[in-house]
Amino acid sequence: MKLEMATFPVKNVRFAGRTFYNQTNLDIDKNEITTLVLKDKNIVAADLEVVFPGEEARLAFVRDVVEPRVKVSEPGCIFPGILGAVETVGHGRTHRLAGIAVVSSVQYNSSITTGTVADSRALIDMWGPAAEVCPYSSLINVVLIIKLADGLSELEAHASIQQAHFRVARRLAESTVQLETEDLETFELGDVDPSLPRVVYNICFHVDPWSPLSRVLLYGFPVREGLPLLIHPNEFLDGAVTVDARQGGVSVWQTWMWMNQPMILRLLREHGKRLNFLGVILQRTSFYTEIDKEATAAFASQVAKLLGAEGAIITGIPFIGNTFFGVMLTLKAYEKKGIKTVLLTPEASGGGAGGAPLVFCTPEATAIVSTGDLQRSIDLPKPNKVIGCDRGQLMSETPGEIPLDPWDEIKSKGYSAVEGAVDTWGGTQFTVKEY
Amino acid sequence: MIAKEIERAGIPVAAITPISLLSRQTGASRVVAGVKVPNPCGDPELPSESDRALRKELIICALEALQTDVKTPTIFTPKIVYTRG
Repeated sequence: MKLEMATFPVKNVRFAGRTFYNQTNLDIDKNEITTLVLKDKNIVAADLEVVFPGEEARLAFVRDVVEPRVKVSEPGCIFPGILGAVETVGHGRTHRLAGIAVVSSVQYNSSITTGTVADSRALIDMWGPAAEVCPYSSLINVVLIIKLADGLSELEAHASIQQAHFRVARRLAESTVQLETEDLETFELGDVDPSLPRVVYNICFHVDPWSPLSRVLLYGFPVREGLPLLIHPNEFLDGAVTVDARQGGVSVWQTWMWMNQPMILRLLREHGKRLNFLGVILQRTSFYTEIDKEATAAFASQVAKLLGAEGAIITGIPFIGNTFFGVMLTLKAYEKKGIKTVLLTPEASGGGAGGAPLVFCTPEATAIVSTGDLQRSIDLPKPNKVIGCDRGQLMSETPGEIPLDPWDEIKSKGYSAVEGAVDTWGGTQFTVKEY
Repeated sequence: MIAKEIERAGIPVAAITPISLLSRQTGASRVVAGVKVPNPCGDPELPSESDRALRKELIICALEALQTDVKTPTIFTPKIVYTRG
């Protein structure tokens, strides 16, 4: 499976009479985009705004973030199973716009008004302390501001939001369809020197069993309580894995990050050089009985074993609680089968020294990379401009939570309010200094 | 951890928890393996008679655990057949 990725960088964006890309300049026909979005009867209002890194602007009611991509060759389409038929992707040629993202900022009357499976809203600051932890603050963000009709179920809300921002993302990328570029990268798992270590990458993720929607979708198929599955890394690059579009924040990674998965990209680039990358195991770990946790651990490690893996990288999830047990038990199952593991995870030491950083640890976990404390808090300064929220309007991270005023400074806010602020995949810029 | 502190005060504790692994790590002496994280002491998905019988068996197991001498952290498993379907 060979995928050729053509990158078209964007440095300037403006609204104009037609959607057109020319040498880092992207023109967007606002009318065309809003008309496209409003075709969905469940969307009653749509608007578009653009923000640039460094502006003292805050985006509110943020849901998902998407990179504009389009497939220019058969087989398959971008976001298969959602924007088109289900067909295995990750080969042929794909075009992407780099340095830019479509951000959906959506307001609607939630039908689930409390709890972990309610929709969640996040903030993106284009400047300041929150911008340092948010991976999207350094991108030019095309914000799709949407209001949904009343009386929608959560599934309908998710479907409308997801269709809207995926269609817009694809439409923007389509401006490059006839164009050529020298920025081409080929991704494939070709034959390698058999002495290179055989490495598998195990992604653990979390879905609450009482959620009406699966937090993670594979080709539009709800993974939910599914079994661990082996996936070719290229499939991620064509948007095969997508998420619950109603949820912004840190409970699930944004589509943008699944398409630009830092660990997968790094492993693909090291394939044939330092290692033999066997593939990605996608594993839901949030089971609620011990025996089910042991089961998923056994299944995931067995997939790796059958592949002949010698080593595995396991990434954790932002919930360092009961659901983290599954991650540790998976690590233990790998080690018991003779596969050496490295775990990458954030810690939750309660914001200070002295707490246990991980709620549970097995003695087999001898190699752990920490991506920092997920329970730190930051102060967000007052913005000049807020998109997605009127002046005087308040925003709660989830329905029923104490609301905050996006137009004001927000003191001591935990990371969960900032889109993508908890790093579980190693894409962070932060390092550690020992004193 | 609460269990450990109460035991330090001299009162024996039987902790009913579905995550017996954690309790072993925090050092509670008597751990009773519960059902599921949202409902450790019973199973609301069963018909009410079966659920009641399950709850009774769990509590009896916990009471028997309290009466058992232990030297190291011990897991007590109630006499139930727990199946998922």
